Amino acid sequence: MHDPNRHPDDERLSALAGGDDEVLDDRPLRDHVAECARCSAVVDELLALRTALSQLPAIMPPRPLRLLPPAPEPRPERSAAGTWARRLFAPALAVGMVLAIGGGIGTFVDRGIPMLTSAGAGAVAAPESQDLSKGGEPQPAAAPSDNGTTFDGLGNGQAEPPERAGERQSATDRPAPWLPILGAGVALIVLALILRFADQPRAG
Amino acid sequence: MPEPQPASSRRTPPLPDEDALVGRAVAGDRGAFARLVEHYQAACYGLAWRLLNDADQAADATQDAFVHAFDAIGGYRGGIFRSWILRITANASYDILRRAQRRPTTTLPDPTEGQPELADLNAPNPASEAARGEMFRHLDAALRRLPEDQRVAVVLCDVYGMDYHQVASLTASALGTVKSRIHRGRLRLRELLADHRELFGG
Repeated sequence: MHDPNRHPDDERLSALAGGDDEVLDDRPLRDHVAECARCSAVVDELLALRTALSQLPAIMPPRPLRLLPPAPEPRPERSAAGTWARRLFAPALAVGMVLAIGGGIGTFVDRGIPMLTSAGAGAVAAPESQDLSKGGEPQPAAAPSDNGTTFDGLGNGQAEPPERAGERQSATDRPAPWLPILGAGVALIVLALILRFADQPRAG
Repeated sequence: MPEPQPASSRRTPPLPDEDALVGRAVAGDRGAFARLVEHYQAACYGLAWRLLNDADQAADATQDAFVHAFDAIGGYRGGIFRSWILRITANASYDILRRAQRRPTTTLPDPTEGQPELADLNAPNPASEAARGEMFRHLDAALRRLPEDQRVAVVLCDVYGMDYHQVASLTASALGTVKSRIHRGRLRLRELLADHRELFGG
């Protein structure tokens, strides 16, 4: 037996207005609502509210909306040669750059060694006069000169053995491989750029 | 930004050739897809506007929803297209809401900005249409005054007809939480509209 003066929670009345199964099966609740003016009025108002909510109109957007994402750009037609050239471009450029840089460094180092050696004699001779005039101890140094004489830093030269001088001479006479490598690298870079140019899509 | 206008005082009915259009859109026909979203854009925008309380954000959400829908249309597995596109719009709107919650601003929304003009004076019965327009205006104003979680739940469930499970899934909330939000939202709306009961016939 339910107490007509004891009202159910309003959320249960909302559930009843919403047709929730769990409260539709609650017989005491439904009996109470049927007999209670206050609760039946709440349920009626909530039903009217739900009806009004379900009829709320659509609203036109205040500005035109883009209905579709932008169409993808049509891919330009590429020739078979173009595809082949495009695949080769990056490797050719990479190899070309490696060869060019390697060849460039190699050439520079190769040509730089004789310059360093010839400068070595002068570099030793100059401190001799400066340091001795200041009374300081000259730094021991030994560097071979072009004529095979090794200086000990005190102006005393020692003749290099003829066999070592011969080895050094034959090494400088050998043709350096760096220049062809540098050339090959530059040629590959140029070839890669030509391939890139050949990969340009056809008009239309 | 100009105020949004109501598309009509009725819900958007399906297109007569909707099934055929959906089939063509699924097959990749951009024109068919554009025709469908053009037809439902007011419904989608209305949902976004009611969820977000902001005309600009609602337009952005609707736009996002159309892009997502276009990406997803290939996997459309049938059903009611209106429900499908509205669910995508609700997701896009809810994403914007979540981002806004993570990045709160200090500006409060203007309660009158973007409020739709609902009375249709060209209708056959201007007096009754004006009364309906008045009712919808009060209803939308009251919805805007609900706490966000209650507004989202009531709009999705009572305005757009989603069931509790769909709302729970969309808002990543427990079923009981969703029910409680809907019931509290309805009761709060009833309080807010207490002075306009005659409009609702309750």
